[in-house]
Amino acid sequence: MMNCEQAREIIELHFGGDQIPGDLQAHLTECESCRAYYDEMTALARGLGSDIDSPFSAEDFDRATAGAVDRIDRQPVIELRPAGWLRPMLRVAAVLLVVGMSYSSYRMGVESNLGAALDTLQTADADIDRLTVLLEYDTDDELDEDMISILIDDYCTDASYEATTSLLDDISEEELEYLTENFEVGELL
Amino acid sequence: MTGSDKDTLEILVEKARAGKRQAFSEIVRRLMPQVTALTYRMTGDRDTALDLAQDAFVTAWEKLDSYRGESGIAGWIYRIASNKTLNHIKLQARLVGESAVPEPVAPEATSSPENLLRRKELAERVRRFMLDLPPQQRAIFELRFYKEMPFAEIAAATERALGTVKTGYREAVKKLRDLATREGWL
Repeated sequence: MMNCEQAREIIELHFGGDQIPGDLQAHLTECESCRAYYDEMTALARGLGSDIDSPFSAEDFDRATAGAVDRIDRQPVIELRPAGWLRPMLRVAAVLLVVGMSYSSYRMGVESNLGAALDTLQTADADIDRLTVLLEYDTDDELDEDMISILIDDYCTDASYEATTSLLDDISEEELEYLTENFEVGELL
Repeated sequence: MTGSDKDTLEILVEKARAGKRQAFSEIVRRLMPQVTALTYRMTGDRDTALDLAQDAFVTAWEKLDSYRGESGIAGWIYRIASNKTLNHIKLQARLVGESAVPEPVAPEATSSPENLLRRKELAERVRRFMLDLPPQQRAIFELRFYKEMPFAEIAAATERALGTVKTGYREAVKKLRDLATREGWL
């Protein structure tokens, strides 16, 4: 038997929806207070406006559409490969990245957190959608642009956005400044 | 969206997957209003909203081979737009040092009928309400209330636990009710 607390929880979860569960219906027929709450929330949802109730005109949409289509048309034609290639490619790229990072770090004398990178790759091997790499470097040394580019390209080809979000969480202010000055970060994100 | 509209969108997706860009252009044309509405409610800025909507479609084109067809192409693109917008908000917060909430645009008042004015004022207050929500909660509310996405799909889109998404939605709804009570809408 549903109580009022449970009823209100369901009402809130169904806010804006059309149908409510049968057991809630039964409770509402018996409880005036919850019925009043339900009616109030239904009226509120109705008053919020439609999905496309916005300040844009048809011309705004036409221009934005033309802009998107133009950007798509300017892209090179790429054959759509079967989905099966992505994960093996990412694993190869991840291994090359670690090898490349360690070699570059040795050559450049830049400290890199190789241990953390390897730990993360072991996790990534089990769940490649959650691949994150902690990139630490000495800001007085010149950044390796190729490594940064590979890192960004790897994560931006992944359908999961947590990788890019985690990248934002983990990079320093200097790294963020470098990225925004040298890459079109908005597009990459 | 009607059943036949949805079927046609999925047919367009198949043509686009086969490399027919014109088919994807038609998808862009049909969904641009809804996607722009999403990015606008989440950012509060017209120009940013239009840019992010464009970015979302370009990304959707680039990642079309990863579209699985589980949620429908519209839901899939809403997810991309929502995540892009969240990342944009996060990046802006890092760059400017705080979450900048744009000043509201005053609704036109003089010659509108009273009910149209009231509706515009209400829409503006709801817009401010949305912008006052934390970004993740804003995304959850947008995807659930305006885009009618199932909670499980929102959880996948925002990469949060299902319980967290439901709690986030309830909290947003309760805040909205509190606002409505204070403003005298109820």
